[in-house]
Amino acid sequence: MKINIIPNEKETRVCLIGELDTTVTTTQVEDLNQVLALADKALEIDCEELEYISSAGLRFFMQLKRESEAKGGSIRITHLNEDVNDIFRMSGFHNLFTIE
Amino acid sequence: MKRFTSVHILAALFLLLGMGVQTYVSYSRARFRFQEKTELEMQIAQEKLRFELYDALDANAQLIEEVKRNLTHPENLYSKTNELLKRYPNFYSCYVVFPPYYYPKKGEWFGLTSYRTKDSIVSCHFGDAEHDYFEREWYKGAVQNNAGYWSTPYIDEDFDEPIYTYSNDVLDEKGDLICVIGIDFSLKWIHNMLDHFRPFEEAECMLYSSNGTLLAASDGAPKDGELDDGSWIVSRKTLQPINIRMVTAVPRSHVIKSLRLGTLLPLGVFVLGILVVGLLIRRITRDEQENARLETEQEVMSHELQIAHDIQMGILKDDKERIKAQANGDIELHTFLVPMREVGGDFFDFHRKGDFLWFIIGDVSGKGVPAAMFMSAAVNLFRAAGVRATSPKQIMEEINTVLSENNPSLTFVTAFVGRLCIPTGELLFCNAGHCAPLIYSPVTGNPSPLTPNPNIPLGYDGRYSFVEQGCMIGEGEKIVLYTDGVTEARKGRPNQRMISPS
Repeated sequence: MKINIIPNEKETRVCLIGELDTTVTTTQVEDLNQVLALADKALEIDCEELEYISSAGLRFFMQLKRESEAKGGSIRITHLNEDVNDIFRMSGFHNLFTIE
Repeated sequence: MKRFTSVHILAALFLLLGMGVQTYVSYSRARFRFQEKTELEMQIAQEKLRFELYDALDANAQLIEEVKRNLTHPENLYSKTNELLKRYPNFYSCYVVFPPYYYPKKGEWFGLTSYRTKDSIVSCHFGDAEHDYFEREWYKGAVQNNAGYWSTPYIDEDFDEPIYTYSNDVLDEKGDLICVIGIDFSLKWIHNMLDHFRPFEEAECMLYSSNGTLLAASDGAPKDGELDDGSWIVSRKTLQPINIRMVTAVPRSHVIKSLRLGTLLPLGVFVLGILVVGLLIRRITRDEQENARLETEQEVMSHELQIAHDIQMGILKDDKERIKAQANGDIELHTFLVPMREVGGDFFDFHRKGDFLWFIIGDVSGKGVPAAMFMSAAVNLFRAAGVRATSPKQIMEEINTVLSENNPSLTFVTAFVGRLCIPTGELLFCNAGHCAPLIYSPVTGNPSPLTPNPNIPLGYDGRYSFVEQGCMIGEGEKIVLYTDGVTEARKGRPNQRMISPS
């Protein structure tokens, strides 16, 4: 999993590339913490190249949302592919996030 | 050398302790099995009794009709009482008695009866100063009781059989007493049924009336006072509606005897286990300190995992009897769960309240012990909420509030809660991010998914207001609830899920 962070004055763009699963959430904690540290900002999570997400990945999204709400940031998720979008929709994450 | 010896003493102590525990557990299990089987037999006896007593109720109803038709010519009733005795061989006598001076010309006592002797049926007039039926239990009982009255039994000397009386008052339109009718019937069949009521060959069975009279006992039955001397395991039940006390006893020695064979195998496994542990302990003493610590930790962990697994399976037990009891003949229930690891996050539960079947299925994000703990919390909350909840939405919100309260790890749960009204087929449901159940139609044989609003998963926002939905389930249709790990879809093969999302 690769994470590209593109800072911008108005909105910071975070590109998730690859698969977001348990392996990532246990071995790339540092990388994910970098994203969590941006929770006070306006974030665009660009999922154009996010191929797969597991429940561990969904939990990361929840953490991000909680942090963001606590610190006054905002999140919008963009460019979900069809499979990942299905997972977001069926598990009710559509009702938690702004998805574009 | 000293250490070696102490290890062996320790192992021997463990072995003894283990044998003790094992024996106790097996004994408790055998005892439980015995009690289960006994309870079943008692239930059968209860049903059989109700069935037999139905004759008395039926004859009573016929006689009431006949009395009302023949008030001007009460003597006509002889043919009816006679006919009833012929039809029901368990009936001992059958009578109609009138209150004082009901027919002024007939005097204070006027009644008629048919009764059975050893070789015939006799019909005659009944009641005079010597045979004052107004003072009898069955007469007073029937007049005081609005419903029929079951007397306490007595043993008939001629027939040596326990005799019961069922009596009932017959009222006119104004509510005044016309007469009392009574049926004496024998419970001789109970003697013959005793053998059937014994759950084991070694068990003994006794039946007492409500006033303590022994009605029937199997041949080897313990005498009074022997029952409570500790050598019998005793079960008691009161059979309604005539308060027959049924006592079933099995010799404690029999339960212990039945253990021996059953104990050998697990004990063997246990001894083997002790040997293995013994070997491990020896290895530990030789190996480096660090390795020893790791191994012990692993042992403890796997032991704890096993316990967690047992607890989880205990919570989710798909016990056949329970399913049958909930199903109650008008609905079929099937459950199936195979956890991927020792413990998992999938769960289900159901219970029935009257016409409603309540159920939940769910999946906790993540696996292992933390997921299992969340899971057991969810099931327990469902059970607790189910006691007073009136809608799936209410249950879902109660579970969500509690799970969200203290959830620093942001573990979340997807769940589906439903309430099926069995007579009407109305299904109310509330979904929290769980995969959509399938409805199978018996006509097409094809599944079609429900389209539930996913709301949000449980555990994030405790104040979320869930949307509840409803639909109709037709007769013969199947609802299939599942967890396909949709949030755990196979890595790299997202299209190979059990059910493709629609």
